[in-house]
Amino acid sequence: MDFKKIQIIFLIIFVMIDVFLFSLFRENSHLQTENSNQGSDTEIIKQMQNDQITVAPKLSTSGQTGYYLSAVNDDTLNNDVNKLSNQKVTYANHILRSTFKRPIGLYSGDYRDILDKLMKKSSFISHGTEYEYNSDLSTKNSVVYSQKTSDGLLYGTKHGQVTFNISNDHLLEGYTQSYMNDVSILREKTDIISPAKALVWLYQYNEIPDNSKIKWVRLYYTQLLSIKNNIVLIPTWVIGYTTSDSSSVVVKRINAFNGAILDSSSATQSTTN
Amino acid sequence: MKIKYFILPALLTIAVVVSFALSASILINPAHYDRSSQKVSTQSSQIDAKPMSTIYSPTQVIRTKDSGKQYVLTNQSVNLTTEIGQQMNNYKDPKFTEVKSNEKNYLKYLNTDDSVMLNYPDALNLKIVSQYISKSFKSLPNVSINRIVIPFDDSNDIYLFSDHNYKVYKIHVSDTNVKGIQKVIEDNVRAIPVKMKMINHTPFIDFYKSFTMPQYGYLINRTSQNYYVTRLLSDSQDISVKRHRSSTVYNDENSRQLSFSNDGEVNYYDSHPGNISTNMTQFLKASYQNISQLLVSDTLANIRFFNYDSKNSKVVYRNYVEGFPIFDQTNYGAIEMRLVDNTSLKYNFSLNTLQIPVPTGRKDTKLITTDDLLNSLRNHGYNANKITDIELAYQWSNTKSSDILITLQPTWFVKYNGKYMNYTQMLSRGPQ
Repeated sequence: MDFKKIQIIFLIIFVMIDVFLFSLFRENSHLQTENSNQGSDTEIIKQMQNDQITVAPKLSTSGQTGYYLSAVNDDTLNNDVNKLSNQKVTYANHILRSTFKRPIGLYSGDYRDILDKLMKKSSFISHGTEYEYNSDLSTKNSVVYSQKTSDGLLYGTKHGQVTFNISNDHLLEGYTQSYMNDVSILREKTDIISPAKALVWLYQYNEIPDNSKIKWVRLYYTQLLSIKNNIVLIPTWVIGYTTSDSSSVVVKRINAFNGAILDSSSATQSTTN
Repeated sequence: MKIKYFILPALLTIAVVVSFALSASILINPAHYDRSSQKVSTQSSQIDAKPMSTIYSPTQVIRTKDSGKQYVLTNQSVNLTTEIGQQMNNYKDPKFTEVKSNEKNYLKYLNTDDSVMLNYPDALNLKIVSQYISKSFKSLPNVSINRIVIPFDDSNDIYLFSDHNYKVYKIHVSDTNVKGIQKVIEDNVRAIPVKMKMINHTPFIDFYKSFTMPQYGYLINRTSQNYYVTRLLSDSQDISVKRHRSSTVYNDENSRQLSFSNDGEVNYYDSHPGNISTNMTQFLKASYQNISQLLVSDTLANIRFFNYDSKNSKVVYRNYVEGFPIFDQTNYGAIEMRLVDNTSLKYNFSLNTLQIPVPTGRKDTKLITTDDLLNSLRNHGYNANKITDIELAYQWSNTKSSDILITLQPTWFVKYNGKYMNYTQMLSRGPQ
């Protein structure tokens, strides 16, 4: 009988030890998965969900290539003003602002089809064929076309962008336009970071608040610096996200050559949808 | 009764086994996690490093056509030698044979009709070259070579050339991927007509037609002294700093010295660098590792091997722009590494590095032919026999308007009495 009692006591002790060890084991293995995944960008993007950050687009983790481009910010737009009809035009700081004397009705379902056709007319807009519809930046009241280069689109209202203003009753009222002249390759092709890495670095710089929604991550060419009217453009991962307390899209830029964050002044783009 | 009798010991055994299993796995776990995280960190740091094949890659591409006409090829939008190297990476089953050659027929092999030639600025071992061509070349004899010729035929042979003793080596591989290479050199290239010749018993590229070259501009970055102090002297506790009128000198207890002169030049001297082999292959590998640890990866992108001097165990790297070396950044190039008396290691480099290319808005520069160049040097009293090399290169010049803006102007650099000089300066100065 004594031996049975000893057995029972031992069993109770070992079960207690087991429970304790099991709790330790679970904690440990949890820690392990967290740490060993640190290196992989896709895993970090998954972990961003812990901060209630949702990532809508699927992002590639493989490196790509890009160029240093140069462009001239001259007054080409102003020179072509005479060709435009039905428009009242002002031009300042390399930006052309136009208002239609008779607004154009955009009554069919898709604005884009009508605008795509209009963009080809030189009496409607100059250099229109060099721009492309941009779904990321377009909203109900402003439709954005971005200037094309040999290697991707330009980004920035001052750097090769057309923004159409559309009233609530579907009237095309006017537009603002900027244009980069003589875009050319400045230096040979160089490796750039992947979009996944760009997002991870932005996250690690603490630039994405909790409860945000990553809408898009796209490669654009944006201005790095300017010397007089000569502009140096670099491939940039432009990341757009919305926060919980506002519907406007916040835009951040990451230098795709070295992953540095580019200054975010005037990077907020307000939308009203 | 009997079953009941066994239940308790059985449960006890299970509990003991489970506790053993759990403690074992907990003990193993942290070690496992440590090892995996280490792997990850080395991986991520390698992403930024430029591979050895880039630093030790050929710098010049010459196309010989069916007709025998030759052209130096340049491309502003891609790096030609890197792209061609990628086309060669799959070369398999190399078979090595030496071709009978001498000074007389050496040129004939070099000028093989319908081929492409890749030139190194100086001779390199095949072990180092294999990093650029294909890893399968590692097992071949470690001969030193200056040039690679890939004939555009079905032979699947490539030829390696050693200028020093006029040796020609034929390497047969399973597939030379002629189509892939042809595609790279057909897209978007600029061709300057040239002719390979022998002058003073060495192959020489004769630019027989005058041509133009673009000028470039760069913003330069002056790296802080602290960056290099932490990189080179970080493991020392006792660092003394002396500030002089024209320089700042850091010393540590391990007899290492790092001095910065006010014009941006840096000297590093380590009298106990540990074992560094004077064997060329080992030395070049070690120097690559040193410079890739020392320099910011942005800076490394433009840097190529330029010259190795076996007598003094000295290697020089230069900045390159579109396949052409940059001169006069400093007296020696971008970085110089030297073993002094086989025991001490010395580096020379500059705090100023090329950072962002900028448009210059200037017109292309016209360059005279190499014949005109040699004639005008002779007319100014220079001895043509003392000229050992002529390089089409870029002159680094500071601009008046800005400290951080430099221009790179194409010009001829002539190696006279063992020193490279801009020919316009030679003409204005006269022989000394």
